[in-house]
Amino acid sequence: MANYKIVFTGPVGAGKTTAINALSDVGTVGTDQRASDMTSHRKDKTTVAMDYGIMKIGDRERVHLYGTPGQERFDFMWDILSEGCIGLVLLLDNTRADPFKDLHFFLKAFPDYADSRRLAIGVTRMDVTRTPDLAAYYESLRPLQLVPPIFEVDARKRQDVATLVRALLYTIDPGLSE
Amino acid sequence: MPAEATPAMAQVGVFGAGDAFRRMLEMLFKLQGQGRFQLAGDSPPDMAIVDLDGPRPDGVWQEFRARFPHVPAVVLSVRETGRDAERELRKPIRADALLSALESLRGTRARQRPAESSPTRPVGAPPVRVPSAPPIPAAPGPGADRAGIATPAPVGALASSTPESRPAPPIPLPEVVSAKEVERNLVEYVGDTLNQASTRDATACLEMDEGPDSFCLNGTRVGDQDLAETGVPRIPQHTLLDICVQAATEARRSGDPQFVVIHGLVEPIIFMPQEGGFVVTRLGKNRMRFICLAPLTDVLRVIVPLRGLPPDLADCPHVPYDQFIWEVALLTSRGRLPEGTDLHTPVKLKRWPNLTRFLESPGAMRIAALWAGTSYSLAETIRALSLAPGFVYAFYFAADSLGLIDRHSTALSRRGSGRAWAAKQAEAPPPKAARPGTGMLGRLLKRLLA
Repeated sequence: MANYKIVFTGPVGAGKTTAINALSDVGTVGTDQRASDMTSHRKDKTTVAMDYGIMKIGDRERVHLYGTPGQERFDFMWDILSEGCIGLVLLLDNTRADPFKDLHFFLKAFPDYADSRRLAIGVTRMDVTRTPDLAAYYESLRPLQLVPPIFEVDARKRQDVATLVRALLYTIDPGLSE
Repeated sequence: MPAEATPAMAQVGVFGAGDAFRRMLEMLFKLQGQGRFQLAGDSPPDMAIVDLDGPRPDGVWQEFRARFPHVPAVVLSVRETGRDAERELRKPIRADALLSALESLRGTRARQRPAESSPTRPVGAPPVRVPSAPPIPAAPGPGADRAGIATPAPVGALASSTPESRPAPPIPLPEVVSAKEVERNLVEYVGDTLNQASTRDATACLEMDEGPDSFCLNGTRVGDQDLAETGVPRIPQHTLLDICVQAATEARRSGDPQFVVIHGLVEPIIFMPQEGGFVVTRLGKNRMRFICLAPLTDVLRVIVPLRGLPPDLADCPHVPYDQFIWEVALLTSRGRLPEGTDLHTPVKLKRWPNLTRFLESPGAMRIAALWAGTSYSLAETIRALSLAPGFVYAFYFAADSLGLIDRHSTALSRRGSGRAWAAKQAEAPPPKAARPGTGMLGRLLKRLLA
């Protein structure tokens, strides 16, 4: 059995757990606990270790979907989870106070993925507020000379999450043919 | 009570334009002309509008001048004409600019009337050119249009003096051109353009539900088509996309609560500047895809001070500007390129199109991924990804319409540009060739598409 891994990361409440649920073939395993810190202002429960789902490709291959906990104090999990993964999906919440700060924080936390073009970014909750728009995110990345796919995403919709992951795969290899 | 004195109604002759444009003028005079203008019937006109790009362009100006040597005229054209006319308007035409030009002819006519046989202006004097889309000033108050001519508030529009608390009356959006007429013209045009076997086939296309491949009709695969630029199908000038881009710019520039309404199609298209910009229209996709193909000459953009959509449009989807422009651009291109596009100039992507919301044309994601990484020419992209040229052209045109294409970055200039660059690239091994998704990534891709 061949196993591969895709990691979903991003700040608290960006929709990582929901996105993995949208793609996973099986019921996801979560480690959600009742939030006891500032997180409780954004949602009741939060992931403390990881989320986990699976996409089966035939009988012989599995793609494991891992979601990192959003809070920095669990960052020791990030390296463990991202080891050997084929690409990183970064989800950002457009309603947070400073989503650009979140963007740069997570790019620094996972530098290898941005540098090696194994990164796709989804911006959630744009239905709540359309500002900043996607052009502003690209503007924020200009000094880094990065042009990753950045899409508006509703983490509840499989189509949106699947499109984001497809963009990640093409970013890794534009020669892939459907 | 005696009727209030009003200036005489000027009879406006229209030459060279189609029926659709005449109906448009009829509507314009009725709604915004203040009873000062009327289409001339059989009697000689007081002034004239001469369309040099209409359905009967050949000799229209000469014919008009021969018949009416002293009637002042506004000439309409997509380019400078140098005609001996009193006014020249470049298309796309703004309603207020046209009315303003006619108003100025009215003055000319009044001055010249005593000497009917004399020319309306000194021979040899250059024509006055009125810019077709001047900068938009702040919203005017009631009683003055943008050209400063006294007018009442637009019919049905909320005048700015209307108290905030008063409910907004609906805007009557007139049916300007019949669907049948638009379709007849389009079917004719499409029949010619796409080499449809017959008008019946083109008509059938109106009812056809098309897949995404149809956005790139010349979907010939690599090797089947000569990549020489002479073989590339070209997009005509002045399509709906040009008008929409201009309308979006105007609506963004104008302050709330002004909308920009595109009139002259089967249904109006309304550009709303609020919250980053939305477009509302009842035009269905089938109509839209045909309208996008044709060069339009009979379409007007009208700035309307609105505070609410007409009730019959309130339930229409609000489509973000970028999404709307992207789709109109794909429908406009259909595998064609604008005149002057060089297949060998390297291009790069400034940012990806928002492909979770935008229509994903064939190969869009692969092209975006390739151009986001480094610069490639259109010709090289076709070869590298083994894509049909039409797919690459359609994506390029849509991305360029949204300003996503970078032709001037440092990276590009380092690599050189144009044919020299292409020649150098031709000696180098081609980029990673496209291949069927037999590896794990390919299988995962198929799984995601399932």
